[in-house]
Amino acid sequence: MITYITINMSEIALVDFNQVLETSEQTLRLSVDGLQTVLKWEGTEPSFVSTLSSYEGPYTHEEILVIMATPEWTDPNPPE
Amino acid sequence: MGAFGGPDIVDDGLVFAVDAGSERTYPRNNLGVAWVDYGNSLALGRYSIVNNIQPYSILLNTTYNSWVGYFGLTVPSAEDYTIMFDYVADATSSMYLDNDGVDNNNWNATIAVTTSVQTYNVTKAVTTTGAINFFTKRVSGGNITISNFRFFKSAPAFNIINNESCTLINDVSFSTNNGGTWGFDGVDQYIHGVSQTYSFFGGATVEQIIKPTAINRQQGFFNLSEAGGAPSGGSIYINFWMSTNNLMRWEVIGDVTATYSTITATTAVEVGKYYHFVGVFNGSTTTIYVNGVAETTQTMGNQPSSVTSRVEIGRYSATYPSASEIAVTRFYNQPLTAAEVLQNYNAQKNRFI
Repeated sequence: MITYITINMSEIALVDFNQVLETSEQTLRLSVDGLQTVLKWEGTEPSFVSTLSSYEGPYTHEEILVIMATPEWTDPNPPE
Repeated sequence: MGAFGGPDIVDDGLVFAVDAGSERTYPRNNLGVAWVDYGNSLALGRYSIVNNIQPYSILLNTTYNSWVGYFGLTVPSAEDYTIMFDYVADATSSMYLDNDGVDNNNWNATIAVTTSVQTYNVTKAVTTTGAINFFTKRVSGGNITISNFRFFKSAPAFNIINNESCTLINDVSFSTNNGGTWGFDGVDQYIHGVSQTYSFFGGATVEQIIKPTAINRQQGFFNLSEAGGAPSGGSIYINFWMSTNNLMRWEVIGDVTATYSTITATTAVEVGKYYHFVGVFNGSTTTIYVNGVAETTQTMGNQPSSVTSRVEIGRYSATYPSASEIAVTRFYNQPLTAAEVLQNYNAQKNRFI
């Protein structure tokens, strides 16, 4: 079971990329305004999560798909 | 059989090809593994063997809490390897993995086991060659089943045409379903190739075999675009993208500052079904095929003659990731004919029906 959370990019320095499934900071999915990102892991919650001042979640895959389809994460205007 | 080396796929003009079901694209040859008993544990009833040939299935008996045996193999080269196995228990449990031999103890781990099947999937660098033995033991809880043990080189995917590597980003998943397919979670996963210049000879073709896992959302599947790549300085776009109407859009723009149009297929996709999509442009028209049938064709002049970029699979920009399984992606630097599109569809359709 993979668990997802969204966090503020202002706290990205606290993320240990060895504990999440994202490849690196450079490959993160950002919200449309660039202020938030998504993290995911399998199994035990990464230890750095408790050091974040805030985050949203945890979410299941089904739940995060709904969030990713919102205008905050997907530009409603069709791309070129 | 074409030089592509698979079924009867058209190979003239083929410059990029990845197939999750091909060992040439995605090496997943499991190293030879032998299960070896420890301490006469099998005879003593400390575990049982459900399947005694590779990939094995071992049941750790709830009555014993120490080592019962190991998966043994020989590492042929020092590079990254991935260990994978499935594990499940009949009650909340804990097990331990311990490696002896090469990189002694580097793979050690305590693993929480639940009543749901989970897959252990860890990649590490192996620093030398030789024997490596993965001991297992039950720590607590109920009966624990370990199955489908695999240990293989953790190579990236490769473009079959030139053996250039492709990179799987953010833990793209792999399944052996339908001969092999990659899973994209609709959040941030994608695959990209190496940036290079593709020059076209009268047009080009993109081909993908896709099974949507979520629909009614904007999502991209193929992207080859170059910012400021057109002679005028405008950007170049070649992509498959889908709106919330679930109709695949085929877009080719030679110069984003000039007049352009895109076309859309007429078949609305459904979750769980495979589709063979082909987009072709030939200098004067652009066509999208679904399952070997041309669905939309349009006269179009604003087409590129080359593009310098990397192929991206499973997204169209970071904003439009795909929620799907994508098994095959091919890019030709020439337009396929309708007969050739149908040939490719027929060559692999039985794998996906």
